[in-house]
Amino acid sequence: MITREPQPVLPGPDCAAIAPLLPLLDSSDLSPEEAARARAHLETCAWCKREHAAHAIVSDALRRQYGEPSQGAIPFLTMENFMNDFDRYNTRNPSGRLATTYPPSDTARTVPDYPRRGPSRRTGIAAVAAAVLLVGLAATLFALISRTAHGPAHTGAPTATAMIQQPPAPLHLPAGTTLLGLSMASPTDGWAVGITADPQHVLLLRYHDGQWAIWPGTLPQLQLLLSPDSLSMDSPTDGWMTGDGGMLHYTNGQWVAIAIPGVGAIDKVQMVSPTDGWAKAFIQSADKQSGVFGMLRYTGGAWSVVPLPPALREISDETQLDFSVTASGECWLLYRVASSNSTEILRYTGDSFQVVYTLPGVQGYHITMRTSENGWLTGINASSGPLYHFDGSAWTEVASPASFIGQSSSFDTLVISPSGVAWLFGGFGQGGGVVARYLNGSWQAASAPSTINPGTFRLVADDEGWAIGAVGDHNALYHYQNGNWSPYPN
Amino acid sequence: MHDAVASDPYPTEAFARALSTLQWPLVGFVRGLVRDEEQARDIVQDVFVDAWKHARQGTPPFTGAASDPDGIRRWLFHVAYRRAVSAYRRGKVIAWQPLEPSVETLLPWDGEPQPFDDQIAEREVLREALQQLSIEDAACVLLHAVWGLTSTEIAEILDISLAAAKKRLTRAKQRLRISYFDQNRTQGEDPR
Repeated sequence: MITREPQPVLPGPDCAAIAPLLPLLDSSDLSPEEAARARAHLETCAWCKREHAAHAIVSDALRRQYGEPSQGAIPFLTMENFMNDFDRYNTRNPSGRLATTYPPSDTARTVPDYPRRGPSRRTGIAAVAAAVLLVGLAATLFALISRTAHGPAHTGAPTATAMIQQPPAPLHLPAGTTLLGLSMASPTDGWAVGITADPQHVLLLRYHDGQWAIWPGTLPQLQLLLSPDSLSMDSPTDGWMTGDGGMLHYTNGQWVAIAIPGVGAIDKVQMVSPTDGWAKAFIQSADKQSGVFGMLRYTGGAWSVVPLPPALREISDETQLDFSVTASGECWLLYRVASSNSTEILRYTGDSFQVVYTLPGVQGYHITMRTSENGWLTGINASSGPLYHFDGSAWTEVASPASFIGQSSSFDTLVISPSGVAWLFGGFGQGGGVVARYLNGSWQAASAPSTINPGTFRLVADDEGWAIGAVGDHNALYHYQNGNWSPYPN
Repeated sequence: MHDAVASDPYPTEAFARALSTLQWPLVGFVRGLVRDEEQARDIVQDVFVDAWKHARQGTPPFTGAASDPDGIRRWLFHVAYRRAVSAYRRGKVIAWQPLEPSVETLLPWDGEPQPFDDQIAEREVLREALQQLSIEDAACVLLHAVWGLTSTEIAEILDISLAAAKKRLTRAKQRLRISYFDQNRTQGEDPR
């Protein structure tokens, strides 16, 4: 039996506000007022009733497949195992560490590290692509940095001669490193961020003068929210990294924590210059028990909440809101209106966001704008619908190049080169990477390493860029140059 | 050799209760994250080894008569989650899947029995759908939908703020719903 999704019906005008409540309705996570409001709405709304039923179907299936087996299930671990075999087991663990702390919310927590079993496999970089990870930072980065061959990044402008004469020195990443974000301030300067096998430890990499090296400095205490969108360097000497309740600011050669009162998780930042930038954040209510998603703007040396139009002030589903900033600093917003099955595009026009386009029947999830005459809308995956291209006057449907790029969950990742060529990635994790480039109104195929995380691809020129990927079991930085991809030596 | 056991039986009693009642729930939870039954059992075994050390020393959450069963449960899920994430990120998850499902994973759930073929189909659909989520999102969904944990408990287990847990949970359940029915359409007949 294959479970069938309930048949669709049309949403009403109030459904947008109710939809985010439905996944939590059958739990105690909603306030009594929220639950009552949702249940009252369900009484009269077939659309939300259908959505609620669909959530229940999935939850039931999860319980069947991942819930407790019947009473007849034989335990595979018994007290006898531990009474008799514990010391023998423990002698295989030379580290003997007992570092698990309690309670779990303790910021000093770590996880004990026993020998792992089982064969290794290639790190699932693509699967980690969308991973957003809250990391409690230790005050110091790594003692092991001193064991690498690299020192701090040099200062001063690189020269072509110096870059040619200095071959890339191998980058020795600690075992188990997972790189999550990458930002290039220029062709000669960039940063990458990730975590080591111990998820408490954040690793920062600096690219300078043609060399990637582990950044040896220290970080202040802040819970970071790491993802491909979490790092934005606007110059070799200035940049930002997202966190929970604040951000890290790179300035004067060090990272400093900047608290932003009234703001929770910040999950995307895009800087235009050291004095201008935008971020998407969870804006907390006064009692910090609830909130909505909204926009922050950095101007005048401080971050502040930018009021959104009334229709956008109750967004509790993060995926309904996305933004992109053009090279000239113009901020565009995407607001996916689930209730009316449409997408609204807003533009910041000096002092406020205004709806400039409404796309009925479109469920866009991501917006990417290079200029105010070149932008794209992409969906959550290939089955969510076609792509839309903006040419300065209208949004036009563009068929996805599924014939050679295949069905891919990476379709939400689209990158626009400095000259305006759109890059769409596909085929990852399926044996070979494919890139579709939109040139003169049609898609052209190119190849890419199958292990790269498309969300981290950063073009610094039309023919040069960097991305996070994997070589064998290890994370690696891939350099795209003149049509060729090569992993940075490690 | 087992001094702590002899001098203070309470922590080990609490450990024994947890071992008997939570080992399968933990395997189900970890299996949903690492997608491999054997790997899940290895991880859960490691989790209980950690727990046993704490129980023998009488350290939290195994603190004798004062042991809080809910606290123990949260602690075990927290350590299991951390270990699963670590294994996943280290690339230690076995890439291949056995051709035949293991007997344990097809034991009837404590609910309405399902025909064998339906269990297989549903399991595949769910596995594919969960694979579309990040491991953190999958953890949220499993803890909430399968074990009925609140956002507050999930926040503690995942070491994230309450606001982040609610946000992640809502988003993850919506994405899973979409993915699940997409997979159903792919694997089954056109439902329309």
